[in-house]
Amino acid sequence: MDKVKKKIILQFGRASTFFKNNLPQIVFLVFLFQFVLYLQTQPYFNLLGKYSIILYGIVGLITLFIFRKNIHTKYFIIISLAIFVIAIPITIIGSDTLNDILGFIAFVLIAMYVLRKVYTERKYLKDFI
Amino acid sequence: MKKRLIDILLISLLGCLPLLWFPGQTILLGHDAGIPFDPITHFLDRLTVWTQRFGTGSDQSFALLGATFIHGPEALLMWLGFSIKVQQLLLFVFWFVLPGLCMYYFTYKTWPEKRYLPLVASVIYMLNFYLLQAWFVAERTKFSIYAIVPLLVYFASAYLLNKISWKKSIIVTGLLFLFFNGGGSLPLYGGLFIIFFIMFAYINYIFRSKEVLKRTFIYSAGVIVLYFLLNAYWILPYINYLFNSFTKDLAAAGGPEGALTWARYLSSSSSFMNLFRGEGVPDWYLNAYHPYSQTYINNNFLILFSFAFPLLAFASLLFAKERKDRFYLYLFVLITLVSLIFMSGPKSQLGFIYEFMVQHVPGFAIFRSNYYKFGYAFWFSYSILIAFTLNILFSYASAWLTKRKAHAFISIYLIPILFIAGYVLYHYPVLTGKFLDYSSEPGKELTNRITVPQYVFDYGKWMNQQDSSKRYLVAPELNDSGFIAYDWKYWSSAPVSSLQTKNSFVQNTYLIPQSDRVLLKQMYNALLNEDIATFTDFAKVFAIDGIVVQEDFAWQNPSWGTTDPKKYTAVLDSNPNFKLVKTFGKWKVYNIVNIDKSLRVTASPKLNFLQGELVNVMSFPDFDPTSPLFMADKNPENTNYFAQEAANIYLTPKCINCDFSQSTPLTQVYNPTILPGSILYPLVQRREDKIKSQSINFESQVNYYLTVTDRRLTETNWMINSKQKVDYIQQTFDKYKENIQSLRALISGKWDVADETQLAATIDDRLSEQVKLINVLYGHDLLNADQRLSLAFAYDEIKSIQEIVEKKEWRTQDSTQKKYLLDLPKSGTYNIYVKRNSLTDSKADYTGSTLTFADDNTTLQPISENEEWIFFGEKNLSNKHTRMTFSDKTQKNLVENMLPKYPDSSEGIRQNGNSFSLNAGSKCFNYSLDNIKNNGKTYIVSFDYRNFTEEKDLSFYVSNKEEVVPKLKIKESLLDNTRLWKHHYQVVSPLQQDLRINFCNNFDPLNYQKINGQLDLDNNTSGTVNEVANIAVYELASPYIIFHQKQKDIQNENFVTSFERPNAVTYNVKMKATQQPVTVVMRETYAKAWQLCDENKKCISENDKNHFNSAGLTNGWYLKEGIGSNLTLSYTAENTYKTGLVITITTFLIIVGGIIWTKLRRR
Repeated sequence: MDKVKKKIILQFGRASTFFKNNLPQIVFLVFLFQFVLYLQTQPYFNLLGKYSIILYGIVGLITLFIFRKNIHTKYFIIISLAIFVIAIPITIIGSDTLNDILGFIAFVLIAMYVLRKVYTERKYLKDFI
Repeated sequence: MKKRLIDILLISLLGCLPLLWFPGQTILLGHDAGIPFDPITHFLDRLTVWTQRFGTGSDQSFALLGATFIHGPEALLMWLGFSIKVQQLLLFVFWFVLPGLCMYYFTYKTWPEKRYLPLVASVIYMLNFYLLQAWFVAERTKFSIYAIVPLLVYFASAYLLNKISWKKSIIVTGLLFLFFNGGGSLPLYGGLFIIFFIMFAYINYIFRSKEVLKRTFIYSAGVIVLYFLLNAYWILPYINYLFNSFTKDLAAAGGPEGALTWARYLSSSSSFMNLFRGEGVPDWYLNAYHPYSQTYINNNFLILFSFAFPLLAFASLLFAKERKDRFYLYLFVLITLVSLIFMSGPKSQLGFIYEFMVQHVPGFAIFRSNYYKFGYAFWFSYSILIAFTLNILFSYASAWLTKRKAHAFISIYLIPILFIAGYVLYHYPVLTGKFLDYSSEPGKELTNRITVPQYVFDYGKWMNQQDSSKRYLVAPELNDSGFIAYDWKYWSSAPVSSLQTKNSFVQNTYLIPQSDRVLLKQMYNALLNEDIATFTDFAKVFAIDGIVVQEDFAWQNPSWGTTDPKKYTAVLDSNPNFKLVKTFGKWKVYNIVNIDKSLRVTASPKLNFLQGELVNVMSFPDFDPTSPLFMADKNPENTNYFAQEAANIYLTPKCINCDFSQSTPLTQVYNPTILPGSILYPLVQRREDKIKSQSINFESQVNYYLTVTDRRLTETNWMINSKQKVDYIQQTFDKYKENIQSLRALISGKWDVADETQLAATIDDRLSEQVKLINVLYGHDLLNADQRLSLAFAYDEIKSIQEIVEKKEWRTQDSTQKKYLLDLPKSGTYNIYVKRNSLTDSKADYTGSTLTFADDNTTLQPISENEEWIFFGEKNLSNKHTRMTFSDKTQKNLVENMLPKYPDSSEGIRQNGNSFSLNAGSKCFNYSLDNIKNNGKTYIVSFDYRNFTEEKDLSFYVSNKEEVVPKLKIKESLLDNTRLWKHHYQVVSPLQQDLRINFCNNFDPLNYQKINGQLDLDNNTSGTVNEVANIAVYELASPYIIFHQKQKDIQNENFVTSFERPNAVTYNVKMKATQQPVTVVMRETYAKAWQLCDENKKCISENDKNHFNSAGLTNGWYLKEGIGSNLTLSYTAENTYKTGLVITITTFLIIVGGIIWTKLRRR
């Protein structure tokens, strides 16, 4: 029981440390999200089609940029694989809309993984020849 | 490679799956397969640019010539003596195995150290749902590109990575493209463009060196040049097609917007998630009776299994440790993702990329079937990604087995064999060929596994032995679906004759132009109605020598059913004009007996001129269908020239809206996003100003004013309804008034337009819609007095516009007074005739019929009759736009003396002559008509009505006599409410020989009386709810009127003594020499590239006005100076093909010679 207790404390501690260290960034992102959401109700912004893509795209990219040191690239692929697992019951239930969104998120994560990897590993990739 | 023989064996075994698909004598035919019944004849026919397999002949430059290496092997195997079934099976096995072998080569060369990767990648590449969907029509063109993709990628990347020489890479690539070119279908190259673009960009990004960039350009240039040289035989004619017809074809398909609409429809379920799972095939979701899709969509186990695809594919990124692995995996993931964007098309969240490219990249619209055109790029990379992960898993399993001292073979092959077995089981339709039975819809069961009756093959064999210049009409006619279906299950839009013989067959298929289909329908009708004079005239125009009746046609099917073929045989057997020459099972071949000499090529001094429809002059006594016929509507620019030269002028006025098909277009009231007062509104004004400056002719100026006035009213409507920018309402009304005034000023002057009747109708219709909106806006509380005043002034302007327009408008609104319009090409005195059997009732007394000219109000009446044509006297015509009204006295109101029936008693319905008052809910009355004509005839049902309530109360519908219509259906047939008398009509095309016209007074629910406790207000006039009056049912007809003027008295004579047709693109004609003007007619589809040359090789150039479209479909050459004793007709586009062929063969020989020379020199 002690081990479990220690693990819980450790995990909780990690999360709270992360929030403590990055509070300004998190607050900024929340405000940014709300602001972009608000913009949608404004004239001319409401003319833009597929606003949700722009919304999540902008916020997502800025999030990745801000937390680039905290998020390991490997997580992208692990999360996208997890999304495929989550999508199994959703597909069985028959929720096409949710599946559609999950598919898109998986697509974006995989794309970001590869692009980031290609960018960071470019110098070494050609060495195999 | 030798160590991998068992892998190759496994791939080959898997490739034998097609052997399980065709039980008994079945073979694959039908749908879009394009698989020939006679492969040799079919192949030989593709060796020329012109073919007569479709109707009266067509150019096959577009996408048909490049398939030489697809149809060649089929023909070769037949020539070697294999049966059609064995030939199909051998080639299907070949096409099934080839992608696997190519993938094996690529993956083995890239990862020779990975034991299982090549085998697994090959299996997945050979068998997946993308490919399985293509297999139901054995899409060999797709297979050919699909198969070579791994090889192309290998030889391109190997050169870019400096592993092989430039020469080797481009020569192999070029040769691959020679033999596997996708049948010359450019849209199929979509996936290839993606693969190469990503690969080049990726490799150049990784290396960022001038050397690699240089290699990229050198490789691309080399491949493009070699591709062009080795495929010149079909590319050159294809380029010719692109320059001449692409824009026209794109416009016919609806332009980029049409392509996008199609792509949206097709991609409706191609979401990223479905595609990741290896599904998302459009047919799965669009065809509710798909043979297997529902199992995969609904079965939970199969859904679970489908997620193995993305999990295995992208898990490979976690397993990739080596730099080489990562180099390739990143590339394949990028290809996968980019191809996903294009596969899903407009469906995905990134669909705007595809939409943008369709709208803005020239030619990109050819990729409108996006899933099918880009899908193979996805499967190429996906197969490798999945195989990479499985290779690791299988290697672990193999090591585990080896540790447990399993037999070496078992430890190496047990796992992959189990995988292949499981994978094939997952794609279980491939085991039975069930995917070939592509629809299980009751009554529309469709399959491509067909047992062809022997008589069909016998017929084809016999037909190919006949004179190739003979032409046959195929009966029965096709219905509007255009599908050809037989009792023996063949179903396609491609006629059997086009896949079986080299001869010419005409049928109203969708493979011939719409104008030809209309003529053919008229010809079929004439035959069925035993109007033999009209039929034989048509037959002469088309140069038809015989008729083939196919009694096994699936004519009773509700979807593609047509006339009972036995009706044709009954007419043909009973008429001495036709002779049965051969019977093949249920197919009968008849000859037309009075055609003793082929009319394919004729030469006559008697040139005729026709303005109007060809059908109108058929059977006219003075008209000779074998003589050349210039049609003014087809060649308007040369009308004056030919009107002077012609011996006879025939003018057939057009009956405007005689079929009542013109409906008033409803203006779509939308809510504009940008309103006056918005900072973006100058953009709207700028666009309108631009359109105005571009409106240089009368018609476009009128359209401009109609559009901007529509827009101003729509804006005001939305400003009032949404209460936005209300300060700008006055300004918008002022602009509306200003534009309406400009429109009035414009149309008050001279109308410089070809069809002023049509334009007047357009103005009338559009302004009537605006008036409706003004009526609604005028009463709105938000408007002040000034704004109402502006509207009132605008209303007055509209009134004066409509007064002008009414004088110009000329269209039939009363079926008894038919309005005709004639654009006179040449003034003079004309004899006027009306065809008797084109009147509503050809047996009725026509003497009271009249023809009244609007210009001078003169009325002509029948004088005499000659061979079914009624002579109305002569008339001197000088007005360019002559208007007339024909009153057809054979037309009768079919319910005039008929008593109505009251199925629910007459209580609550009062009849006074032809007027009815109704006040009892759910009470109906009807008129039943018996013995009406249903073979293409239409009727108009018309009446006047008014309501005395504010709701829709009067129900009107047409049914069959015995049809039971539930009472609740009344709610679906209520007419618009109107306090004032309103005229209503409906055009009916009866399917049976009876008709019932029903009127009902509203619908009362069952509990209505119980709640209200009220009885119907019978015999109480104050309770009248609806009134109906002047009920009439008329048969619709468009009588044929001819204005005939004989300019020159010339006897008809055929100057052609004989001709031969050595091949599909040449006619050698022997003539009787003459100095007098003569017109040569060659009855193959008119095309500029058909050229006439005399014995001195003097030719009439392509754009010479003397080469014209005779009778609207064939080639005519007017030779004013006469003709010598020999002439040649040839199709000049063939020269382009031959040039291309020489380039291809020469290049191929140089390459092969170079390879041999290099090998010899090395030795």
